[in-house]
Amino acid sequence: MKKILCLMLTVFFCLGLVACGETKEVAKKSRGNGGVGFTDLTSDNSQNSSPADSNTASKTEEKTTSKTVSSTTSEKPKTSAPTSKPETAKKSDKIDFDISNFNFTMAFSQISEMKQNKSKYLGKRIKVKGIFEGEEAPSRNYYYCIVKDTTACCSEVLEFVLRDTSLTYPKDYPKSQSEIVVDGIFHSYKEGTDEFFELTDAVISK
Amino acid sequence: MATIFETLKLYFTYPFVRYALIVGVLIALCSSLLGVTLVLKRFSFIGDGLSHVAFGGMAIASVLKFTNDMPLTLTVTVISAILLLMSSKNAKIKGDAAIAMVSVGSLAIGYLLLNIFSPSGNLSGDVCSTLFGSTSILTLTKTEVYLCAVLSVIVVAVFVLLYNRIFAVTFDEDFSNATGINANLYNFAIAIIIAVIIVLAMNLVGSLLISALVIFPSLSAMRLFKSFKSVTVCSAVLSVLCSLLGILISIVFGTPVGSTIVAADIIAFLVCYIIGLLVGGKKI
Repeated sequence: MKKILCLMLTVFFCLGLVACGETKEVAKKSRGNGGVGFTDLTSDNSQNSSPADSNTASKTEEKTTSKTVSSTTSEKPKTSAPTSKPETAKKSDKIDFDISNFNFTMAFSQISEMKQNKSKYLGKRIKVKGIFEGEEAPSRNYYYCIVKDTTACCSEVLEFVLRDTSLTYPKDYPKSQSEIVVDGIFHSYKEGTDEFFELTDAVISK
Repeated sequence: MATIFETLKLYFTYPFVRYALIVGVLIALCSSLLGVTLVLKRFSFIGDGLSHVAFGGMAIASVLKFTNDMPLTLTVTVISAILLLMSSKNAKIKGDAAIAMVSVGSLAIGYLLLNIFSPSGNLSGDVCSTLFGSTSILTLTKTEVYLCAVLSVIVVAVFVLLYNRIFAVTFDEDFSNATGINANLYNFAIAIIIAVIIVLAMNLVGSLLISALVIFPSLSAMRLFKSFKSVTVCSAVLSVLCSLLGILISIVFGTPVGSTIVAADIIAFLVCYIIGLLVGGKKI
């Protein structure tokens, strides 16, 4: 009986290890299906996040409506023109990383990974689903896509700047706390000593 | 089922998923090895106590704005482990009372410091993530993975090399001393190893659920086997399997990682308990 049990446990363990497939082949196939593809673990993964970037590398960073901006920061004016309908995604917009269909756990983790290893993702078009939140500030408005983890106690925040700059907030933007799917070019910028991440040339598809 | 496998195949392309699986397996292995010793020495709740001490250490490191909280957390936890496990038999505050005192004291002081000095804008999120693990295991950096791997290898190596001594010290310290084994020295080593494992395991299941990683595999194995070696091996296998299963279920279905691993441990314990009853011929 003991030997049978040991054998069964060993078999289950081996089955668990067998589940790990060829990463390169899977990555190629997933790219072909328009899904997400990532470089293999053995490839050059340069980590640019330094310990000093504690705000950005923080796993539980959340921006609330009271975002602090350095007083020495120069203004970044965003002109608001008369309203127009939200621009839909162009057919030519190729999505490099689509995490809009991920569950909370994976989406949160992936965004955290993107911020930690930003060099792999900067300049790529990312599609993400989250909760919309907008903030009006003296220098510029900020629009956020908030992705919470499964326990809802932690969240990752991605700012986005819509492609159509003629839209005004809050009239032409989704309602606060509504679910949105947005895609844009992953980009980072600094305000003072803090680094933030945003999706530029963004389009809301939901 | 096919969809689940396809999803898993896709998720395995992500480096952070592979990191989580590697670290999860190593931590589960290390905690289960020491878990047998702790359960037999009636120190099952030491994991909970030390994890709260580690939380207090992390809070102090956060308040002092250390870039890396691991050295301070590890130091504080090791010192506490030594004090708790090596307290003399004539100590006025013994065993469970000492653990409880240190545990709740560290948790309260840690949370108080975080509240007063508030190093980040999301205090509740930081605390929740530390206490329950949340997605900490899925947001590891490569450096943290290497560190976990090195520490885990050291722990396993020490356990394998000192297996006979640990066995002797676990069952009868007086006999060990009488036969020339320095029980205090090995208790000291066990205390340090446990502290290291606790600090590593906080990334996997969080502070509040660490005890499950230590206790459940050992207790499950004890339902099936009687010898120390068999229980240790079975405990390790069960712990690794449950950890793997918990992480995979968590990423596929979007459940909290720590809680899912503990749920898998509980199910494994129930299965082993039933098998033990059936094999032993005992009635419920």
